[in-house]
Amino acid sequence: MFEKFTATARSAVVDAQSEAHEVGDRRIEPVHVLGALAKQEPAGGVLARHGVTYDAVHAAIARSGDGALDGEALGALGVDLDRVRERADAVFGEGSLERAGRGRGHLRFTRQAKSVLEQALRVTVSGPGREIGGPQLLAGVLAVDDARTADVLTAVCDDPQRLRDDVARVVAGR
Amino acid sequence: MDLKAATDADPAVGLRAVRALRDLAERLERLQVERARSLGWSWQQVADALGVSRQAAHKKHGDVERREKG
Repeated sequence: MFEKFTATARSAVVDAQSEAHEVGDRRIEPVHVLGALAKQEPAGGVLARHGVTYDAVHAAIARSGDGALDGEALGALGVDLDRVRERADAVFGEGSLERAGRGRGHLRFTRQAKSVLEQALRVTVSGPGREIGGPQLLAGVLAVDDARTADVLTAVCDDPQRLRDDVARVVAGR
Repeated sequence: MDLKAATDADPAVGLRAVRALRDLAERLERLQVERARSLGWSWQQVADALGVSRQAAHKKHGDVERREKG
């Protein structure tokens, strides 16, 4: 299937892993593909029309992932995460606690993320193009029923339905 | 505030608290091992301090030096 991917679509798949690493997630999920697409053209331009910028997506992913420390639960235990972070910054350097939580090595795709690739293929086959590009991958992300993607989109997108319509229009070549 | 959450009667609350502690402990362990190694500690010294075998310490954190350079 990868031979049908454009260079940008391939790099989006690679960047999805970096995105997951960066926020400390242990699997590659559809949202990481979304983050990678927001960073490149032409998919990023389509997303930007609906308020979906890379920075906003990245922040929403970081908030929703298992990579974030649970300050609330720690607080209930009497551990003040802000104070721990302050001390860690002082001893190990700024942002060290976040850095230490980042994943290492090869990450696997979740079933949902694999499904993004399948949906992208399906969209491509039924559209005018022969190659799976960024917009087709984006259509794949939007086609997969995934709670975290829905949460991130709700947080950053002006109107998810209009984004869907716009992406459908772009992949149909209209 | 006290340590009640980790021993909460509701497993959902208790497990979440345990997970939060483990996540934090894992990160601090990583940072401390990195620092110890950069200060010249041997893997044996690191392992003794953590109460694990030298092999276990190296398997878990053996990539710290590589990461520092990368």
